[in-house]
Amino acid sequence: MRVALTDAQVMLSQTARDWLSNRWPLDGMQTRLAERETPRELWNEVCDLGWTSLGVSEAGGGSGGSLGDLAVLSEELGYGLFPTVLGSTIAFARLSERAGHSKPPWNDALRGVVEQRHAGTLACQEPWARFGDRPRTVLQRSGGALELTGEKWFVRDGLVSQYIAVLAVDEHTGNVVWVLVRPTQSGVLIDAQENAARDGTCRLKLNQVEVEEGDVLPEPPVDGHAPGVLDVMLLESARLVGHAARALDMAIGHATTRVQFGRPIGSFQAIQHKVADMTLDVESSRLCVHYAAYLRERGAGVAETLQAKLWASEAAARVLREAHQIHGGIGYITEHPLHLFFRSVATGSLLLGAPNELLHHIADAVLGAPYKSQENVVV
Amino acid sequence: MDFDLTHLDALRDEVRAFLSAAWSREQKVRADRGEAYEEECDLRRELGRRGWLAPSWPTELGGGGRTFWESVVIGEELQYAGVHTGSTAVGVVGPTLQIVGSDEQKARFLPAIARGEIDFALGYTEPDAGSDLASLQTRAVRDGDEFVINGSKIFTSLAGRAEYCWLAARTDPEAPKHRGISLFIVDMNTPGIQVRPLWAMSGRRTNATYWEDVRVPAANLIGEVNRGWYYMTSALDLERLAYYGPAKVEYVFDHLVDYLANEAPESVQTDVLARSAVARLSTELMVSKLLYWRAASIIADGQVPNYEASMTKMYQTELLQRIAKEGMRILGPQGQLAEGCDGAPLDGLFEYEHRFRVYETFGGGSSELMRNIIATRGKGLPR
Repeated sequence: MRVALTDAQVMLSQTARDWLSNRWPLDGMQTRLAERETPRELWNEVCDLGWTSLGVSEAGGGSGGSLGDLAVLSEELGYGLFPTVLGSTIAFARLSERAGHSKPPWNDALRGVVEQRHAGTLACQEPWARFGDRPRTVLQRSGGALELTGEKWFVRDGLVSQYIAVLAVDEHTGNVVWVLVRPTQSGVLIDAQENAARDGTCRLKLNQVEVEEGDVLPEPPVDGHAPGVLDVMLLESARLVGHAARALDMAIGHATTRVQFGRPIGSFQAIQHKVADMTLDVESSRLCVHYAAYLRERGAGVAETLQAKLWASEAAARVLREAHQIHGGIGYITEHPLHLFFRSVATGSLLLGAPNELLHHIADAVLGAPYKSQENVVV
Repeated sequence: MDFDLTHLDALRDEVRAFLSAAWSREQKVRADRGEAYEEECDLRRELGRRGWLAPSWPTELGGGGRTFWESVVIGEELQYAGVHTGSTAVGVVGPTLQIVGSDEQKARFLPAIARGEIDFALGYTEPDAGSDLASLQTRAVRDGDEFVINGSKIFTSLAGRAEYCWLAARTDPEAPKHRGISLFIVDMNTPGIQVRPLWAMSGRRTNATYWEDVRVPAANLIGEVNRGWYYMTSALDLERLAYYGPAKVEYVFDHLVDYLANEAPESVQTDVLARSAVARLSTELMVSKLLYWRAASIIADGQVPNYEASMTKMYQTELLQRIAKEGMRILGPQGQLAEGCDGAPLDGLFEYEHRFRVYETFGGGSSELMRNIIATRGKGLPR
């Protein structure tokens, strides 16, 4: 046992921290985020840094990073509030690689990400569906053709991605599958959803979209959950840790320099105790993410992934709230960047398992399978 | 990060199997009430024989000569079984003596501690020196080859039972408060020590002790005179951290899960609020484990966990209270029924936990002090 980042992970995190503070600074961030599209030269740089292909094997042209490595980078991207498209593409590339050479379209998409600097994303959630529900999006077979029909919500970066992996149910087999969709295909409609983070989240409508057998990637569930969804949950949890870590650092910076009653407010115990709790939230949620990542790499850790998402979501929400309290009025003004983190936490904590949804699943994992009266529960 | 301890599963199983035979729930309950001290001493000596009392100490000092992580595993199992013998002796006295004790002190006390033959009461807190421990006023005045102790201590829990007291006393009243304290080992049979029991709301006994012209050989001074405060605050090692390990949280939580999954009436088993509370507690238990493993990992790397140990202590003790509270809410009116009472769920475990755990968040350093440490030492906020 060694509960610390590896030397390579420390280096990765430092590289990311440095690059982001130079190339994606807090100054002017709000304006840049509002543009939605990541500037081409920055995207080229993150590709050159090898970040989009961090989770891709060396044989596939990536650096073969573990889930823990991806969590390290995701946390830094959250700390720097880099556009979500990078995280989405990392998750997409990791998923694509699973298809291997048996699925040429997925392999082409992976090549597209690694070599042509394309972006990809995952479409997991559906309107008014609860986390873990079976997808209502269906893959139908009529004659020899395959058609995908359904609606996905909260698709990050749908308008700037060349590939979308859509979670669906194969009507023929009853199995859950990922289906590779290109936004330019006939029957695909994408529009933006104005959400808390204003981060380019999209709605995706699929109306009898024709796909091929090679576009369909089986997704055998682990403990009732799609492994690809668990991965992206974990990366989202890591991103939330990064948001919380940045808000904590901003709050400490403010508390150390803001003088009231003739003293820096950070010398008051009322502030110190908040900072202590925020520190616990940041450090413990980071530990949860890495613990879950460690277990997932070994084929276990489903419950721990749900727990990590719950904890990271609630911890980040607490930290942001307290960061606002410590900043007082100035943090409430949009010229100050704190609200950007608050917004992103509000979004991230609800995506891919909102706290109340997760509590149900965690209870099932701890106390035993769905209990008799579950059908009667109305939430 | 690497969380693997599975290569020590055989050791874990061995310790667990021994304890399940040697330390029953019934004994644990009586020990918690302070009614099984002789049995605790027997168990302590047996653990000493097996090298499990001070697992990481070298064998020449009577320890187990175990690796660091082996001692973590043994500590977790002892905690899970509710064995809390020797925590001052093994966790505080031994590590400090190993660093600053004289050769004579090491030879006399370390093997006896590791073999479970002797026990220590902790003589730190005074009626007017709690969180501000460095303001303690009990005096030790040099008189030839002896020190003469006068003063009073409170919460000296093992006084009246343990053979020795690990005592902090003021040796220089003129010096700044942190620089005038010395540590002593005092034989509790020395004339002049009076012990008055104080009964805690947990049902456990603690004591007030009164020290009047108690003469202690100068050879029992620990390290240098007036350096006591630094010895008290520096040697945080695994055995002391182990007290705040997650296993005792796990013990209570496992019982709650077992009750809810198997024993509770269906209306409770299917109660969404109860299930939600357990789901949240399971997550918090994971957090508690990870904080502990992180602090242990820092020790394994040869460093001293500082604010990380405070965070572990604070979180674990507050979590124990939350589990007790949620357990009572889940049990409902039955939760008030005490051990031995007909119909008490889990034989009154939660009625006891709910009372007992109240002290954890101020005993051993209050949560407020822990938060001060995290903010100032951990995050550099101004004092």
